Amino acid sequence: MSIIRVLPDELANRIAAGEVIERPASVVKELVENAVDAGARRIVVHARNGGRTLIQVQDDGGGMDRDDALLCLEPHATSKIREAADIDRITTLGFRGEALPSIASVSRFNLQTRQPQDLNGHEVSVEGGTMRDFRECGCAPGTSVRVAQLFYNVPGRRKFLRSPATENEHIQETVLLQALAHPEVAFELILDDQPTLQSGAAADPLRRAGMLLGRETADAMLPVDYTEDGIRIHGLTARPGLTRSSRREQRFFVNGRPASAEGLFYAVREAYHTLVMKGRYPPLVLYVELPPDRVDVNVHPAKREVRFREPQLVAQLVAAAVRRALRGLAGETVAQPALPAVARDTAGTPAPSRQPAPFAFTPAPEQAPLPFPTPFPPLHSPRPPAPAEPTTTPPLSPTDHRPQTTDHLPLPTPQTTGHRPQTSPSSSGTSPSTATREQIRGLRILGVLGTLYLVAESADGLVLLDQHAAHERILFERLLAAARAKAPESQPLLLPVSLDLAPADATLLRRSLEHFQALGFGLDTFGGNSFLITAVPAGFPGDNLGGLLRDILDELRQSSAGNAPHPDELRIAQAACKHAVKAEDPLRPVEIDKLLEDLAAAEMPYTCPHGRPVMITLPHSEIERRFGRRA
Amino acid sequence: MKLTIAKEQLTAALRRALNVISTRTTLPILNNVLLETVDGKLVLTGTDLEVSIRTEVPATVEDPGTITVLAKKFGQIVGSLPDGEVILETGENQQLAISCKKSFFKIISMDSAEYPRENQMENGWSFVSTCGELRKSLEKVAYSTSPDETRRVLNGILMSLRGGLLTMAATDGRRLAMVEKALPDGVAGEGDVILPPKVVNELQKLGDDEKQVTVQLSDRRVSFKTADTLITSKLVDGNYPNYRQAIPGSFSQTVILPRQDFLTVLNRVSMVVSETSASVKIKLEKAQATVSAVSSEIGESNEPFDVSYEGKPVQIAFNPGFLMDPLKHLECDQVTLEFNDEYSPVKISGDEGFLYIIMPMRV
Repeated sequence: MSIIRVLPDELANRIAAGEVIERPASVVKELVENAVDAGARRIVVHARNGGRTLIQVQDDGGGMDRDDALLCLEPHATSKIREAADIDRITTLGFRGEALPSIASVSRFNLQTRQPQDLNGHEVSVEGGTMRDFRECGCAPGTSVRVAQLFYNVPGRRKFLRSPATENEHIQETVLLQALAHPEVAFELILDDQPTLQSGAAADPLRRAGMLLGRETADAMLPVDYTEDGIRIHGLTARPGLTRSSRREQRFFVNGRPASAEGLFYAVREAYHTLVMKGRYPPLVLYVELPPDRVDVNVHPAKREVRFREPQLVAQLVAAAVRRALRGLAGETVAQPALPAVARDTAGTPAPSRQPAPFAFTPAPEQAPLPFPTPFPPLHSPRPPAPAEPTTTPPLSPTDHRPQTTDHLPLPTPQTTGHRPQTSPSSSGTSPSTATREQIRGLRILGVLGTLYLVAESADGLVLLDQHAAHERILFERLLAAARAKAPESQPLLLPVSLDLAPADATLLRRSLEHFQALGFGLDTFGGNSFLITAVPAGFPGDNLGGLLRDILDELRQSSAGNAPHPDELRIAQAACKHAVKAEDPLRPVEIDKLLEDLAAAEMPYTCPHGRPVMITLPHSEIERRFGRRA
Repeated sequence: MKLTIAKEQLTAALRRALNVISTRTTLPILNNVLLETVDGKLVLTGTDLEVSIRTEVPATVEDPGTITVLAKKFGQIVGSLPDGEVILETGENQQLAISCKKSFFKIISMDSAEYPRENQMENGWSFVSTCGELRKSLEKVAYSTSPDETRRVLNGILMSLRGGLLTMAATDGRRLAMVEKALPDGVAGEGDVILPPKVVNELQKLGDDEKQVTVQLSDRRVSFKTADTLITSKLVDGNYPNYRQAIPGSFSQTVILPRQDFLTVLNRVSMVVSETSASVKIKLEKAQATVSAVSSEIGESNEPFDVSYEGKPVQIAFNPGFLMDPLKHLECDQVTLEFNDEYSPVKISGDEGFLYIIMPMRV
């Protein structure tokens, strides 16, 4: 007797439901996406008891006629694609025709729909996948779907549902993502009769993000907008200092679909390198827009992940876009691609480029470029005098760099900076970096808190500045600048310091000798596990060199938990300034001025090389609130 | 105790003692100054247990005695008194009465028996110099000491006596300054001691240039004695690095430069030096030196001046501060720069017995 049989539809749907419908929030997602695809201008989502009791999604979209209302519950019935080739040019959110039958198979399902031109609508009721009722009814144009008692016939699933509060959170996040993805649609979410989220139609994603994330968060974010090679990356990204403890608020949208690809998170991490602490994640909302044939959305059952045809290129562009935003360069579109033509093949595996260019982004940590791959604003326009005309802000366009160097520390040498092309339009005069720089220069120092923190007044309020972090940042950039210049200035020692290391440290040091040398350290092997420190980078605090080297090696070994560490200049510089800058005596006024001046000149004055903030601002509004002068 | 003393003299002596008296100490008695009388003199002592200063001033002693008072407050009070004769007198309850003209103070004191006193140095070797000689020698090397607190020996100045030759040396590992002097009447004894930074400071204000000073050294302590003041100090424990090995045996090139001009030019040119481009370059050609500097953040500068040089053209980079330090402290008109090439140690000399070794920078 044959034992293989084709499953009845009802069972097949339930199995599909297992993939597509994980929890109430998945139902919300599928229904909202359908509504958006139906051209809705306004979508209202109701949920009760975490969506267990009821989920209702109501839209004012195109609706369906009698036949479609019936057909939409058949598996793989869809209006969105017609033939295989359509899969490559999907512009709608749904396309598989799985959602409705799946949902209907695990709940008590009711659908009312009316096309605007029809006089009356139609109502379908399904219980556990079995049609119970189909009739004409009166209803508003559009479609309204009620999903009651989700998983009532799948006790296993029901058991795995979390508390209503948790499920509500998921629903909220789902609606939030959809709202972010579709700014042109008005959204309303009502949880247990409480209006939880309301957002009118917005003209553009930025405005929508501002509405949804809250003013405070939105104000702490920088606009991102960067187009290259037919791919546009735009949205909002956190200013340095704003971080979260998880990635949850790193939200990506690919062609209007909340989705991600692993490479994108990595790209963000690269872009923020040294600006955020380990285990902290800057929140962001990034929209990736590219022609549909360059992305495969049919990867994940719930379409949470997509696959780019050129994952490396997209990741590079995301990293570049975020970096530019962090430097206050959003809104620029480069005429000429800053990227070297990354060898592309349609299989989605770009040939590894051995010469990562300025914005190069390579997943292999050994090749990771230094964190500020854009050129320094060269001669610094000897400090832009006033906020002045836009031309005084040094244009930091990636077109400034020398074409294709073979090293992976691409920075212009001072000689090349004299005649860099002034082609790129410069960013607006209020670019955050310029503003920050001016703000740092404009600080009025009020005193010192403890021995470590400078207390200052700025136009915005009270500023606390961590001297130690500031020093680390300054020293760090100085070291890296020297390394990038390819000719670090170093001060040889008249009396070299000898260093006897444990075997592990000695091996590590031997392996990374050239990187130490690139930073300006002079180290000679002295037989066995002994070394001689013969030179230190110019301007490097020279105290306790032996101990310092040991600390650096220790740090390098620990930070690479388990793996054989391959420290590069960046990591060494990070470790070096961490240990070279000690708790300090109170600074004299002239030293404070110097510190502020140096900090203002720093490329990334916001954080120390390990991501701790350098400055905290307590705004006037906050102070007034605390003193009860303002509600 | 009862005595009369001129206000100015008391102020001067107190100022000297106050230098070493700390206001932040866990031992309250160390906040005090010790006042004692010795036939016709008032002796003031201050100490922080590392360095102690004992200084005498003439006074009319009616009634001998000893007392300690809070040094800072006593100093402030004395400083505020009108010019004239000050009468110090101990009263009941260990109090010190201070009167001067119509002003009268009575301040509390502590038991003077508790005050730590330095024993007379019993052994060691000694030589005689003048305050001026000592001060100048120290000044010519002191800037080369290292601020690195983890290498205490380099914080101080090495004082070495060998075969009648006195050497003072200081190095921070990047440069070395030393002064050598033959001692007049062939002082016997050999040894090295490291003077802690604090005593170096005190010695520089020890007294007028012509004043004679007797230096006595043992392997634990050092003392400097003038007619009215005795400074004793502990020494820094540890071995001074073998600095002599850093001095090249010979140099192939020599250039003679006018000290003041060289310093002025260096000072000017180094205005454009920044932290990332921290060097000045000295280009030597026939009879001419050009000092130049360039930094990507600020700009560039150069200035030639005449020198006596006959060797082949060469350019050497230096940390400008390291180069200017000795020039500032020398007295001679001409300094001599000696070197082999742009990578090896360079020697600067000028004043008699002075030698400075500096490592060029690698750029």
